[in-house]
Amino acid sequence: MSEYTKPLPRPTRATQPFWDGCQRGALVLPWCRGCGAAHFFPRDFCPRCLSPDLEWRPASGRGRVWSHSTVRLSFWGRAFDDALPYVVAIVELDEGVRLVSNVVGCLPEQVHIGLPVEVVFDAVTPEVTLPRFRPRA
Amino acid sequence: MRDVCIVGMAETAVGKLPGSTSLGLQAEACRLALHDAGVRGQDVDAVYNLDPYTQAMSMYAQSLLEYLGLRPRLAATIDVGGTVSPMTMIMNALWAIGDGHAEVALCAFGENALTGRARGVHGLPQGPSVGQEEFEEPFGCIGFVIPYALVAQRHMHRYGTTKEQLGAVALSARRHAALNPAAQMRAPMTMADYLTARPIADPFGLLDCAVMSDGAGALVLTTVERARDLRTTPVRVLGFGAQATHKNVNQMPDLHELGLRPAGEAALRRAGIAIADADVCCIHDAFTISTILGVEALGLCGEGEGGAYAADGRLDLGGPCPVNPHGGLLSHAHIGGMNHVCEAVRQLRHEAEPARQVPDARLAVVSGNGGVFSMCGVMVLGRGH
Repeated sequence: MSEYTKPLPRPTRATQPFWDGCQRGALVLPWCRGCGAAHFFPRDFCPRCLSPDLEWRPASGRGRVWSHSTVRLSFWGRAFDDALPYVVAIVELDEGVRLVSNVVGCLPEQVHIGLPVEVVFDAVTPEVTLPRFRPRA
Repeated sequence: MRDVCIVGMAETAVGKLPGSTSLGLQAEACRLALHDAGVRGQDVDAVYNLDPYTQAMSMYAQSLLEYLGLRPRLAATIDVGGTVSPMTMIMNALWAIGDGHAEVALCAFGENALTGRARGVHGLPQGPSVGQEEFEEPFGCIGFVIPYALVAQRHMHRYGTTKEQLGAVALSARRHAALNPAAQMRAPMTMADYLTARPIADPFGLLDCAVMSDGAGALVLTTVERARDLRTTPVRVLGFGAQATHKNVNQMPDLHELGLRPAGEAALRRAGIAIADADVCCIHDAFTISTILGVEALGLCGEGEGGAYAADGRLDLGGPCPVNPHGGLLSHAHIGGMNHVCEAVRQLRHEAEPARQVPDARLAVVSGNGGVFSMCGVMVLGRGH
């Protein structure tokens, strides 16, 4: 198996539970016990009310494509050459937060804004699993 | 507060400048701007600059003042994003001089982004990250092209903006650049050229993207009182507005909530003018979609109408309010937006080449969007005291 050369996340104290969740096949988000809002990307405290009283809970893993771009040229040396063309998308989760990911499991031409998607987990290395999204029925 | 104005402006050559350094380019632009103003280096007591995007640096204002042999009281590096950085330098200079902390200020940016950059697209990783390493780059969302493509795609979805309308922006910039001997990209561009350009990240091809440039620009500011003894036509800052909303594209609000509209409204209100009063606009056009969002946010057309506005030829010289008569970041050069301010000053001084001089330009509006419309700013500049 060839070495994985694409950039990998380097989890921090604030983000480790997110990546741990992906590793076990669960999309988890930090919820604020103070104001009740979920946020993303994960921080040490809620960006809405600044409360540090957070609780990690599973998200639905479902959402819709908010915007997308089919990338046709590698932006990280040649590391993404084997993935071209690939779809970068901003996905709005049912919980209301947006994140950047990829849409997989369909042709790039089939991706459109509003497309319903669900999370799939891609174990790119033994240590790192990335959450990507595929169209759902 | 004392009244302050821009009395010196200069740009170096732009394009591929082998052997240049970022610091040397900034210093050269400063030397030329001081000469333009007729001000001696020893009179400078405030220096503001931006460090190169393409090399990790710290204390860069101190590097610049040392290179120039200056001993100013104030010096700071200001990094808030494209074109809003030079605007923020100007505002710091204006506040410092206005409040009596300084008499003469230098504002500069430049870098050897073309020849001095760590190889990007087909070489090494790009060096200092502009994106979010943990939650964007692992998914291949890297650099600025892809985030702006996401913005463009959403604009096309919401408002029906077309690829050809994006192309109209690129063609207009190129027509203007063809009239500007200093521009980097002057060869004629047709819509067919645009549509068949190398695809990068949908909907963007190569010609939707700004050029990469070596080069620098600099401004000199002082009091209106002192400006009366200098030889250049002074340019006043009549209004400024800014609005931050986020940094990375994954935190970007929706298009109608971006900061450029409130920034523009604040700047125009401060200046006491309407956008219809503007003679010329310099809109930060790192990508074609930026100009479309820019004309909408400034009120040159309605929300969602920017594509049609461009396609109708209204960005062009001879139109109601020419946009980027130097060719913009798309075809003149990309020096972090510094050249947008320099061009506005040049137009207001009536020093552009006759073919691209907006007749009797008295009011210029400069707009900037740093990051991914993360930090937006608008400045109104006026000719004379």
